[in-house]
Amino acid sequence: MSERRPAPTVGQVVLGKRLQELRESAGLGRDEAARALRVAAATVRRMETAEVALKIPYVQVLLETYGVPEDEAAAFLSLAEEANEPGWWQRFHDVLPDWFSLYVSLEGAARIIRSYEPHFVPGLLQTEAYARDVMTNGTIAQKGPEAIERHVTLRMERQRLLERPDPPHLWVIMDETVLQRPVGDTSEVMRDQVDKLLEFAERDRVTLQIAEFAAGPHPGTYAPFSLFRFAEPELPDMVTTEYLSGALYLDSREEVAAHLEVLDHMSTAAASAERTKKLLRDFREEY
Amino acid sequence: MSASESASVRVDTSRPHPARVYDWWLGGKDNYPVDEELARRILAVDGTVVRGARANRRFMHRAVRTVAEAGVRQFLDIGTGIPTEPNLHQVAQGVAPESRVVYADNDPIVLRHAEALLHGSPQGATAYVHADVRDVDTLLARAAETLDLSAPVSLSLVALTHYLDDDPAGDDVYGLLERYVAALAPGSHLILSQVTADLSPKAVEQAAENFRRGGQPFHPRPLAAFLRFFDGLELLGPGVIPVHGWRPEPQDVAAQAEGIVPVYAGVARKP
Repeated sequence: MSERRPAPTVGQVVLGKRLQELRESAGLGRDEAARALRVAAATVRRMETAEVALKIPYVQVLLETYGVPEDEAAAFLSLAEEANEPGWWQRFHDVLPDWFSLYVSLEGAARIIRSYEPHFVPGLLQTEAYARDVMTNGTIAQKGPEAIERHVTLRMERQRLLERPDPPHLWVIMDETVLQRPVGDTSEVMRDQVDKLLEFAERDRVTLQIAEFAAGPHPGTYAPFSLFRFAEPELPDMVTTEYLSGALYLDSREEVAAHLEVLDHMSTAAASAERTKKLLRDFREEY
Repeated sequence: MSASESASVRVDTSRPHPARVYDWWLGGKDNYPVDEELARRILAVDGTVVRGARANRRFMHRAVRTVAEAGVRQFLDIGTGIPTEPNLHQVAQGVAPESRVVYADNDPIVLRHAEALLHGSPQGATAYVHADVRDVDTLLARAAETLDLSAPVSLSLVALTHYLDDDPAGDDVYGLLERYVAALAPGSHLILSQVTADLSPKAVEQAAENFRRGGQPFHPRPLAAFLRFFDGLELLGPGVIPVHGWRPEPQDVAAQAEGIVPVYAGVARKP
């Protein structure tokens, strides 16, 4: 990779998909669409899969070719222009892997974020000290103390999302492991962290549920994942699930539904939001 | 806020659930492929179901607003379903922020969604009860933790009674409603809507058959049977009527022009 292109924004991903749907419902193949633009079929594919930014004049011609009505096309174009604006997190692109950049973009665009966290407090709710200790013991640490600090700063900036006037709903199911595993050199780190969780648990737009050990196994035991729901009814939910060196982005009906179902099951088996507050207070006493 | 712990029962999502089928018709995303499949199958035999689901929501908005404007400040909604904006408490607290709202549903998933996503005004109260409509005593006892049953309450069962039979040895839907109404103070209101086969018998019967095959009993009712729910109560104008016609707003008049939906609606006051 010689020239690093910033990761796609959620707008680009979603509009790319919409462009593909419009082409398919017009009954056209990529070759035919490409012919209208006098480009290679691969160019159309790259726009549809958000590998490249949406070139506005291209989009205009495509919409015309697909027979999209004028007002709908105008709305699409203005969205495309917006989607090409880089997000605030692009400033961190020195340390931010592409997959995570998309994550931050989704987070900022979502109306509801439902997460499952098997190991750690979710990034949006970590204290700085907690985040630093997690990073220091994570794979980032190989990149040196400076990279760690950049990541901590990024994480703290991400949290401004919840301070917006109209923040998204954050609904998290945390495994009890999260509270049982001490993070930080002193117990103060965990105490402050639990205080922060208690503080956020009081907010209307934050719902925390702990999956207690006593409730037995649950279906979400593998990796952390999040489901993003957007305000626009025509946008499908998206799921991201992390692995050691990256993340998967899932948006097919079957895969999204499988994660939704697991979240729903876990939410009925986990402690209610009210009971979770009590559990947090109990943990607070232990540290 | 009374959060139920009893939600932690095994939930069967391998079969379609009416709340999620309904969510699909409303364009929601909190349904699974089995729900979508049944929703589509019913839509194929009865093209009115999507408009019917929307009409029920809009009727709930108009009816709740009417009752709130009449001065009622307590609301008990049974068979709430998956949260869909605007929700009942938003309508009620939009009229009077001090309104107290209790949502009751027998589906633990619906309940968790409501707990997580529905938050009322700070002046009022919004609570969630995990109880089945057939379990009158439990439901009312839990509702009474938030509502004062000696003062008027708006009781709503929107698009719920068609899932209940009238067999005295079964669901006994008339007996159930009688017990709920008997527990309410004078000045309370009853808001109801349900599917009828009076208007498009063939399509509704096919839709009902699909529900039954999906494991969900379904009981459309003729006008006289629906009217019986309001025995002993004073019906508000215009009485029982196809759902779009109940105190319609311009949007409902426009929706009506797309064709009738086979749903009756009515609101009555307890003297």
